[in-house]
Amino acid sequence: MNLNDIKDIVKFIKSNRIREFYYKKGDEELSFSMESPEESRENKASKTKSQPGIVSAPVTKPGETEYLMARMEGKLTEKTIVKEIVSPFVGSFYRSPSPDKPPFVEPGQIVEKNTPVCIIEAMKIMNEIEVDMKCRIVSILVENGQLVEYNQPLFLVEPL
Amino acid sequence: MEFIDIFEIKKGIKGTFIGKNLYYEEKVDSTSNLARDLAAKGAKNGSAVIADCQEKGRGRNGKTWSSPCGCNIYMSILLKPKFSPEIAQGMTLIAAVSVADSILELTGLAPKIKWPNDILINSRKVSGILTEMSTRNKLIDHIIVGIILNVNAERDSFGPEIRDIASSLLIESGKEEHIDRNRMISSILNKFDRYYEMFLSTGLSPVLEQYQKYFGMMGKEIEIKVNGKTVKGIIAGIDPMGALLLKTADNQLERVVSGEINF
Repeated sequence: MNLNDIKDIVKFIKSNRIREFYYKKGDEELSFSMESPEESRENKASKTKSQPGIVSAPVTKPGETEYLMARMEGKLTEKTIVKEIVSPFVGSFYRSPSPDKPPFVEPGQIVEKNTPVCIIEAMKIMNEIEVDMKCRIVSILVENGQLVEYNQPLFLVEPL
Repeated sequence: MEFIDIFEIKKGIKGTFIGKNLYYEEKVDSTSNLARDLAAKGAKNGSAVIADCQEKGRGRNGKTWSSPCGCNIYMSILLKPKFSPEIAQGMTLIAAVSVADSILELTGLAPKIKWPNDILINSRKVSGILTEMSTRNKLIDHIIVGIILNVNAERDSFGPEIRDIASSLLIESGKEEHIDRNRMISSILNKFDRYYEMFLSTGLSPVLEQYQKYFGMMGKEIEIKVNGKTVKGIIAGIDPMGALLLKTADNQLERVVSGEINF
């Protein structure tokens, strides 16, 4: 990671109002904590009340951390456009067509238009979600078997 | 043994579009797989695929369904709707009510629905419905409603591991005379057509009203596996979207859309 990468990441963090960020790979380690003046005042006030050992979780939108990780690992360039594939309804997320079958896709894989990438199941409707463009799977944002909400991002993909 | 007669089935079709196009194969791996292939080749909305034998009948989570030849109904209905995927769950309830109505009318047996759409008679499963939907960019490409109904299967066609929990209409009727599968298929397609029209014009409420008549689980204490964890509770009802409402021990009402129920 060079200085330009770090500048880009800081820019991204600021523009998306990400408050805390931490990355570690091998010897490389990077952490940011961004606070607005109001938050800083609130935090200072609340610190007197907080219990030792309790740390607030980073607040990010779904997919942001994965996006940054992919960026830092060199999978994405400055010009890369990343799209989300979202769930069309509430249901269980499955990565493979059945428990004994391999996953539809893996991160890094390039898939053609109309390729199925997962199943969302609700009330015994198995909804196979297909990509509507040729793309690279950047990251998978939910765990196999996890219950997902309407419009919840499931994948980050890079259109090709 | 009575045979599947596609002309007999066609004669019995009264609906406006479900079952207007029928595809029949004596033996398939799965009627839903064939329906998917036909969908890709431009098969029409409302087409039905019927087979006499099914080699890879499947249920939820990759479970298989014993599908012997010459005695049961293996059928898939292809839909290419314009509505949103969010309300597609209605199809699974429409299928359940269509099968339950047909069983009641043609055999006099008393079907019960186990949420969301298993059909039981005397607490034994006689029908399973598994629906597949394909969506792209939150738009439905197609829906395939797969229906298996054990009609004339004999007791010895069920393996010992499922003999106590699965059955057929013939076994439950206690009669020797076989039930006419052709009439049963036409009836299911006609009912599906009627409920589907109602769904498109007025929504799911008329379907749910009928569903409640067969719903045999109100007040039952159940366990349901959701996302790897087991939730216990008492069934409090079905919501307007067809989801199961479960009252848990801490008096909370949980809305369940997915999971495997155990009594």
